[in-house]
Amino acid sequence: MLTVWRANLIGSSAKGNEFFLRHLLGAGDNATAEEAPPAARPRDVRWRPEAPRGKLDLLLALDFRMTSTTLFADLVLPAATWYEKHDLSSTDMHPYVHAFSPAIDPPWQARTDFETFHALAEKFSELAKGRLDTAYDLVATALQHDTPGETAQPGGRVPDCRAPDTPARPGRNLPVLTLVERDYTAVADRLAALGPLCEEAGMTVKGVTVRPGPEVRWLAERCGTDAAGRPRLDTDVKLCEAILALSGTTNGRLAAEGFDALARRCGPATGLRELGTEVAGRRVVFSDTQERPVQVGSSFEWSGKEAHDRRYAPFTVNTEHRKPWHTLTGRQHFYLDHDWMAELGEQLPVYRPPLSSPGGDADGRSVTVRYLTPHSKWSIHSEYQENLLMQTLARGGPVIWMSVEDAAAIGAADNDWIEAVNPNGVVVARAVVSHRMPPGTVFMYHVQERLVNVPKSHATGRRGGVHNALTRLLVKPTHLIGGYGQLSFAPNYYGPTGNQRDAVTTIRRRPQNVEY
Amino acid sequence: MRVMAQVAMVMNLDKCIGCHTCSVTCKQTWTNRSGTEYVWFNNVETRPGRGYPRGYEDQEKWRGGWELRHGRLVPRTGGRARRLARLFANPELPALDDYYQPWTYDYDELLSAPLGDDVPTARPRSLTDGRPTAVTWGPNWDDDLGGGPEHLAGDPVLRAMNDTVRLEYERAFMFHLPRICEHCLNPSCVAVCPSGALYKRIEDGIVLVDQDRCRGWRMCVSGCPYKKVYFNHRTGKAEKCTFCYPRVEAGEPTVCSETCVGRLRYLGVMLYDADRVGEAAAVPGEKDLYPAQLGCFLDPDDPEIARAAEESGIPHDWITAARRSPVRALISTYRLALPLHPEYRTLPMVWYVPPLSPVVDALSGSGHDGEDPANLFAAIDALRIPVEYLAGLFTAGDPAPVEAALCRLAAMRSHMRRVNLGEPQDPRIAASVGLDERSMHAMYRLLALAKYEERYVVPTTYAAGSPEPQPVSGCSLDAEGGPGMLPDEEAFHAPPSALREPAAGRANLLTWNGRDTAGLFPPRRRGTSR
Repeated sequence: MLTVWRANLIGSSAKGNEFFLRHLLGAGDNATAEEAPPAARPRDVRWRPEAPRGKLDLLLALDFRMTSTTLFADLVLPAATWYEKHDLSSTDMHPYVHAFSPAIDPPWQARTDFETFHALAEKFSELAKGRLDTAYDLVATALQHDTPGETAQPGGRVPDCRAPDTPARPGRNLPVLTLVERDYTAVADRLAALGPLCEEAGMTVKGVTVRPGPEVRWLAERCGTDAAGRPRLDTDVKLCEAILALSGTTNGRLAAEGFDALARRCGPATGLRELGTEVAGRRVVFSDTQERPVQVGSSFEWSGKEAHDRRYAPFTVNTEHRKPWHTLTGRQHFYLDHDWMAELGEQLPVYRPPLSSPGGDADGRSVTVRYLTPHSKWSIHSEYQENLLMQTLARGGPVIWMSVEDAAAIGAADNDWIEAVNPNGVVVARAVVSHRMPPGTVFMYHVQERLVNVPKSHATGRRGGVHNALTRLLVKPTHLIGGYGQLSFAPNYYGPTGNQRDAVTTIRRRPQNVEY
Repeated sequence: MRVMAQVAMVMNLDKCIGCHTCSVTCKQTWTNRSGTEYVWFNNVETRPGRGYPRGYEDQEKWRGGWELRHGRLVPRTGGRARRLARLFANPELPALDDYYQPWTYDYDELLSAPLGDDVPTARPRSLTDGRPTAVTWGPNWDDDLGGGPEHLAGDPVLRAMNDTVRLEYERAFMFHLPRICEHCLNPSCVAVCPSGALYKRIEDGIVLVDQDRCRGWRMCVSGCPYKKVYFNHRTGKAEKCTFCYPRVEAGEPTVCSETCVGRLRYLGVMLYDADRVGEAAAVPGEKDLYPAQLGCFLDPDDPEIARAAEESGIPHDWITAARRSPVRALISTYRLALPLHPEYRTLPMVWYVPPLSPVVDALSGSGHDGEDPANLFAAIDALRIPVEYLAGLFTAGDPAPVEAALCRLAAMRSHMRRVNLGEPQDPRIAASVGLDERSMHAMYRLLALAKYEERYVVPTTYAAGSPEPQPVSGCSLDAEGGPGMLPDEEAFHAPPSALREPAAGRANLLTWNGRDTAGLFPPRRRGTSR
């Protein structure tokens, strides 16, 4: 089961869209790629002759607009917008934290995500009684950055536990393994309260642990307590309050505690303790953020300094306070001496040409070109660009930008219907011909969904569109490196990414009478 | 001397990223109604490009603005006799195709398509006749040079250039040009209106259409060389950019200014001598029109002028505002802003700081330091294509004022870079463009920091005398078919369902189901209510 809350998945950021349709959802697709030939198949993983179709039992989407994901979802729950709920907003692009406040209540049957997830949790806990009850899971966790795991494989050598005389040791050459108790009947109660682990284990960011005892006591007073005496987080406002209380950027006491810890490691001459003293008295509560965006303060959790006369810039804590970088050498460095990097010749950044290079089959009807999917200036993924006014200010549907030369080669004029085909899928779109494009490269802006103005493909007879219909995922082996300083897993920072670059496609001018 | 005041606008084109937030917020505020589907009081066009409506700058074709005939200023559309002769068949009127055919989508298909083995899609439908349509042109079709050399060949400014512009990758240059009504000092739309419906407000210079007097002759549409008067095909009357007068009267910036994320718009008071306007619009040489219009503006710091202004009934507050006017600083003090197409002789009041970025981009693209003053000055001199194109837009083809403005911008960049890098100051940089260090910093503050309070210096307006009791209560925007008219209160709060019947007599573009034509066209017979 997959729950998609206001995210851009199917027909959007799902790289290799047609493979998602086929293998995850079991829906029809436009891919024609064949399975890897026997010689190119993995040796150490079991090969299944029939790849699974439709692995997912249930796709649940929470959204406030129609997207490809909601079109494919089994269940759609109407979600509140930003103007219908309490929430916090802060990004690393600006130095403020501010509140979302409801201008109106969620209309019709819409609910805030907070309410929806709590309602689901309550029902789930109720149904778990006598069914799932309590269970134990063995959970594998990657060797993570800023944990002991990052020193698990010194010298960049990987002791392969499949080799004779090399024992498998969790946390060294296996993931960290943890036994976790799951009380499924208590999910709703636990979701609605602040658990005890934040005091018992402390809160750790980038290897620095702080203990929020006073904050938890403050939250208990502010929010009330549940039957177990824990602070209640049973409303969105209380949760916002907890986030602000537990973050060093809005709670100077925690920032100072973290800077103290850093100062003990980096030495008194770094001035890190003083940096903590400067912000120790800062405290932002939720009502502050409702009045106006509030500037966040310097904290050990981030690498940049913040003050009324200071704008965030990354790594200023490192450069001005001589705090080592979180790398093998403690410095910025490029050279990577991991065995696998050496094996692939990538100890230093190198250029790699596309895996399949664009050929020049100039038969007068098609061109084979590199296919890029840059982000557009008018959208956050698929959002906003699909609005009628924005479609009117654009071309009214999906387009592919191509050079004057490539368009001439296939006899296409501006706004002609074209079809881009490769083994991964098919895109039907209008051509935008421009001298802004270099010959040999086309691009289709990120996430023009199949929702509006996408005809049936001439090649397959099925609906053909979405920039990611022509891509597929490639996992780069070096991204699987772990347990070696900065080459260790950190969520959203380092790890195997879905790489969909270097796609190549053939483009034709298709018959201009299109069918929807 | 007859001192008058106008709230004018300047846009700094270096900062426009072409996001169209101004267009969308303007449309949502003013033209989100049936009858105005195709109307964008504010639009942003990519230049070089053909603009909206297509090729509007080709006055040989559209005959907008004024021309000198035997030394006398007459509308290009001809004198009263010629205009009368064309009252019922006016070939100089843009057709909907010249703007674009508005469309919507079969959104309902996404919800109600029967179960099938393929995803549904919402196909485009015409907003005028409700039939399935193909999208072939829009109000921003050539965005970011989309359409390439073939479309650009239709750019009237490019066509008029002496140099052949090579439209090739790596030589491409472009910038965005946001446009609203120019609220001209010598508006040709006002002059050609047979009904006297168009007028220029005395108190703030805003040009408006009196909806009660307009008889829908559409002479103003032809007469405006900027094609910024539009015909509402539902009410049968002309509509145009109002300079958001209800906001401006309250001292607030226009919607397009307020929502501009690039902070490129400036609003402020300009004092001018109304007695000089006719003379300035009629100077023989087209290249003299820019200096002639500059000559109409008056210096509010001059005590004589301040006294004359107060004597002409301009409130003290407005004279103070004129002194602090960012628009005056950019137009008169620093000579950075230039008028759009002064050769139309309408003396427009929305001016533009020309973009330096095409020059900097060309320099950086060729591996040079795009902020080194020596490089920049040489490039402004050498890169004739951007400069000549800008001159075609802003100075009737005279490159000198464009070059001067670009050099001042270049000097400011170079000066401030030295400041930021802690390098020794070189007073020669400022001196080379006739300015000093203080003005460099003041320009930087106004253009780069662009604080809200300094961008918008708009005094409030009030009508002198005791307010007359209004016979009808309510807002002046509430005229039938006007922007103050909501479909009805129920519908405003109702779900935007495509299945919902259009409210009585009106179609809502955003909720229209693509089929019904009720409310899209005016009734065949005039109802008793008009």
